[in-house]
Amino acid sequence: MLNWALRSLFAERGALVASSAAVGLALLLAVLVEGVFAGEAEQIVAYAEQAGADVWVMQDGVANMHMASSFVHVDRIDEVRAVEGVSRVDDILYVNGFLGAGEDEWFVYLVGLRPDALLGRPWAMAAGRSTPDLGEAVVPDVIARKSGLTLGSSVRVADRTLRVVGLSRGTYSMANPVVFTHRDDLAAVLDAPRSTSYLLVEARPGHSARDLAAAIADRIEGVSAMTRADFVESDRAMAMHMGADVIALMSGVGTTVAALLVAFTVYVGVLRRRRELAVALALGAVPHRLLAAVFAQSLIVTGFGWAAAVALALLLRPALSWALPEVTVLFALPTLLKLGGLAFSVALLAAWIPVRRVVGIDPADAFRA
Amino acid sequence: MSRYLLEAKDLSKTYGRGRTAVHAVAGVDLRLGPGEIVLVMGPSGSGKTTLLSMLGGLLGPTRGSVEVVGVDVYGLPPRDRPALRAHSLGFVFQAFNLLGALTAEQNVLLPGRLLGRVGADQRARAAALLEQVGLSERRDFLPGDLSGGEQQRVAVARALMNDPPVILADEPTGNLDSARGQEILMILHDLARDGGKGVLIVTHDPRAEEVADRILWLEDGQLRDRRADDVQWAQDPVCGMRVDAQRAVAFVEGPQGRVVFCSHRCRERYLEG
Ligand SMILES: Nc1ncnc2c1ncn2[C@@H]1O[C@H](COP(=O)(O)OP(=O)(O)O)[C@@H](O)[C@H]1O
Ligand SMILES: [Mg+2]
Repeated sequence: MLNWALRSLFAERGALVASSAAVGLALLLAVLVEGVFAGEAEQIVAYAEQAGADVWVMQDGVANMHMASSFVHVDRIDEVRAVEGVSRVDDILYVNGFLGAGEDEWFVYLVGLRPDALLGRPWAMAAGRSTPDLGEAVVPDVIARKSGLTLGSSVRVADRTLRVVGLSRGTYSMANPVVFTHRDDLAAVLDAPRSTSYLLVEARPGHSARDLAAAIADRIEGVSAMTRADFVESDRAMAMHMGADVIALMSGVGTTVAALLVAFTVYVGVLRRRRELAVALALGAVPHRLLAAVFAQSLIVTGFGWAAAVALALLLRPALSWALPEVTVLFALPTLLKLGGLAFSVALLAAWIPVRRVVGIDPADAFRA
Repeated sequence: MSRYLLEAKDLSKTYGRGRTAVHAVAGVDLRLGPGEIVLVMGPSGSGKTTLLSMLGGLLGPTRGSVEVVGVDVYGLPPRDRPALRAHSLGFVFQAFNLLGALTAEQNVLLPGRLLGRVGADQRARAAALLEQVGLSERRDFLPGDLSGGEQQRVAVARALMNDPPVILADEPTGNLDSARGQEILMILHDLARDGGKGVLIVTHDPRAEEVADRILWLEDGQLRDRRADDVQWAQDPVCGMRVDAQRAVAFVEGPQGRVVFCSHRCRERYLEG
């Protein structure tokens, strides 16, 4: 009957293509949502990841950048420098704020850099300089593109007007684009001349970040210290906490729609072939063979749908990042495999409804005209 | 063991219960021996399909029993019935009921597959059966590309795949024009005569009467004697069958008067030899 199941499916090529495409689109929704989520999850911690620090030092009790503020006295900088195993310390001032660009207002992370900083600077540039001077700003290229900024344009931070001198790459995320200024511009805005926010620490070769973080936290009053990995994870968890539910819901919707489509397709096929199934039973087919055939059909439709979804997603990605530069889509293999696994369970689940229908088929129907 | 290939005793089927109960088949006794063609005729709604479904092991009777080659069908556990059907019964349906996605040859092979029989000898048998029904050249055609008569011939070949002793046919000519219907009846006729099969045909096609050994008349679920007054029996000189001389469609006017045949096939044979 497997032979029959396959041939029946392929005999109706139009229907197979249509339903695979529909299933593909539904799975594509799930793939895209997952991809956007994965992309955003990477982007949201891009700064913490890329700033170059092995150890992050911050106000005691703080463990994030996202939804957090940290104030550390500038005297701590030299104290940290004195800890054994520290090779370099740069500090940044940091605050959540708004960037005015023409008509647009962007919610951003404002990062104030010292002119000689090596750690904490933008790590890739689309244009211009990476370190702003007084009265200057470096903004993400995505913001520049969306708000029509170029080198030399003016932007507003609080009551100051700054001139754009650099467009940084990879510093944009939907939740927290990073804008760099001179630390003194930001200090004036914050009115906190003796404070800094985070100390970015580079370890000497041969010193583990974990030991160094422990030593700093132990030695210096009023600060906590985290390895980059811990800091990134803590920030990601915090940032994704709210989004995750929404994403799970949307991806659940995509998967459910896909499941319903597969179920519908196979169900319609079973209904249309009910007579043939009755005939097969009359001729002496064992019911469980028919069930296996229905499962096989369900698996095939789902498999095609999944393949269509992946292919479409890969095709769409360049178009997407061109049309929506603010959205970072990441198709990691684990995501695709996870969705494949999901699709597989979808197929089994979806077969369940038509299978119940098959079980109810009366072989005597073969005689009814 | 029974001398009969198929034997029904007091077979009855009631659909529904209480006031709305329909006694579709009521107390039918029926026997089918080797080489015999039995016709079940009757007006529509008289219970023919119900009877056939019960005889075919597809519909549990309300009362009575069915034995196929000595095996009490409904005494078997339900899960053993599919194998019995595949082994012992060949089905021919009014609507042909070929599987649309399979070629003629694959359709013929299907009953073998259902018994787990695959292989070269199975394919050889399918080829021989297609040859027997005159469709060797169409083995790779899909049912949709075959005419009704060809589809029904494929269906007959399929019914024979596992060499079952009993063939059950429900209105096998119902969807065919007269010439194609005649062909099918001839094939069924030869299966009984030359193959020793027991063939039971449900029909209201009067042409079928020519090939039958016995005609059973079903009315209101019960077998009745058919009015015998307008039947004038003669013998087919070729196959020896009883033929109603007044209704025979195949005959030759000879020097000793009219010679009647059960079928055009027998008439052709008579003229040939
Ligand atoms: N599944 C069923 N449920 C209820 N009544 C049925 C069913 N099948 C047939 N009948 C009734 O049983 C009687 C005999 O039907 P059927 O065996 O199909 O007759 P025939 O084949 O001679 O036309 C009819 O009155 C029909 O309405
Ligand atoms: Mg009927």
